[in-house]
Amino acid sequence: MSTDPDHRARAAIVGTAEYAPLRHYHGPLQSTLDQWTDLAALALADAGIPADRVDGLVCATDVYEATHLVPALLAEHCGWKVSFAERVDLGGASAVGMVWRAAMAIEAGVCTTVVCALPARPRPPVPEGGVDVSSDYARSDLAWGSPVARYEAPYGNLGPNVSYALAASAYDHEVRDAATARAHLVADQRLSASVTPGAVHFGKPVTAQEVATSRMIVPPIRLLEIVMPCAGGAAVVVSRTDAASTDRRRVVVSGFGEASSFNTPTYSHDLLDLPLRGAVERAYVRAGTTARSMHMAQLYDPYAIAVLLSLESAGFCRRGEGAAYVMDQGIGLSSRLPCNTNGGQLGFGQAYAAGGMTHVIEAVRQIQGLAGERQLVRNDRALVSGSGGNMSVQGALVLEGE
Amino acid sequence: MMALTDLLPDSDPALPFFEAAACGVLLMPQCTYCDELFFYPRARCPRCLANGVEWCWITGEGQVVARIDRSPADAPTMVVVSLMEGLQVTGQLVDDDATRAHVGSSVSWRHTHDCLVANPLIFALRADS
Repeated sequence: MSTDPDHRARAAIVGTAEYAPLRHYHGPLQSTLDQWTDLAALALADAGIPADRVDGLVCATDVYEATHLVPALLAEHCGWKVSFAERVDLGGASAVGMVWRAAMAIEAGVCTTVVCALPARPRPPVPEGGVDVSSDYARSDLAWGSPVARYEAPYGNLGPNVSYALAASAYDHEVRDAATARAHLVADQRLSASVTPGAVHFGKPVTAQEVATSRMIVPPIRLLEIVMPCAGGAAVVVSRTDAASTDRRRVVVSGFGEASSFNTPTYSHDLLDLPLRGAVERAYVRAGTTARSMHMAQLYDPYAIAVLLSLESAGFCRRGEGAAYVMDQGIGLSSRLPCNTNGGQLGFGQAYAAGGMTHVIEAVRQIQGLAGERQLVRNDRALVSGSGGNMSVQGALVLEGE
Repeated sequence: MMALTDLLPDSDPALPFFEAAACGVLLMPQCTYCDELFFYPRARCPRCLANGVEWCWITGEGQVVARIDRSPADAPTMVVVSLMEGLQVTGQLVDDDATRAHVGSSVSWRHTHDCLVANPLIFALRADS
């Protein structure tokens, strides 16, 4: 058995699948159960692992043919007998959370081959009178008795645009020229997306000037600083390192961490110090590494402000220095620490929770040397972050090529 | 129009907060065991999980730590206010002052008779700031 010096089983990402994100999907409509299964099959084929070897599955909250007992339904649908059946409820941090839960189960000896999948294409329409459980998720913030419904919604604090605009307003007060830095980092990411086949913005770079003069949406946030929702989907196979024989370089999940202490940022001790800081510190310690050793960072980016805050919280610069960091060295493919090398969600597209898996899959492609025109030369170690809700629950992975 | 307080059972931990605010007094829950002042109201203290709460009058004075202008332009300005007692709350600025209060501005709570008691956390720029 492949072990580290402590004789601990190790887990690696050995296969990936991703539907190219599309602003407007016109293909055949499938249930999310069938989409999940399809993504699983594609990722297993990529890994060269037969379906009957799967003994673990992790899903998130994007299967809409049930509200509970979804893992059992997926095991039945895929024809698997699993010893690890898990559902993760972490919004945009789900992808990172799914990967490390799979890795942890493998390290603990619970299972050897785990599929994590996130379907995000439209479903067949629910007929009049049919039960549509997706509407329950959409209305969750307004649930009777919810603190969000009582102490946020009446003042207008609903939805991510508002949360990130509040954070950006606090950041702009503390940091000079932050709006310029946000525009520059979007331009860097859009340049990377422009050479990434399948990206929504493939072949469509923008200048920082175009970002800085795009339509104001919620001050101080402008249109081109915001992701666009897409149809898509993504999956990975996480395997014990000795259980998968593959020609490709194995991408070991060497560190991980998670952190959450609030749902609404109003109740954080500091609007600009993200939970990500604790998650990343734990991930580095577990991997026995530091921020300085990373060759790339794939940072969860629903808004440009999130990238500035994440650069600071992940230890790449000090608090309040994210804007100066971006202006000094940039985050593009030729910068000292390339970030969001496929354009991130701002450039590649955000297929709902599968958008978080985009960051994981891009790190895997870079480490495996499969990133084509955007391939990095230094490609051994990546930090990947995830963020759910309004910066409420965040996670980090350290991925390393073997 | 029915007020939120009419819909809450007597056992609701937030009832004193909404009732007092409607009468022009800002009360916040304080743990009787560890003295933690906290917001929002809930049945147990978020510091020690004890279940004794007393109600503490607070000044309503604080500083804007984040703000956004909503669209359409006449929609109220939303703020996060750091109160001098150490609590952060989500609230709104009264319209006529909205263009003058920035991040860092001092504000104070304003009892607004024309607002629904469901959203009592309305602030105004302090005259001396």
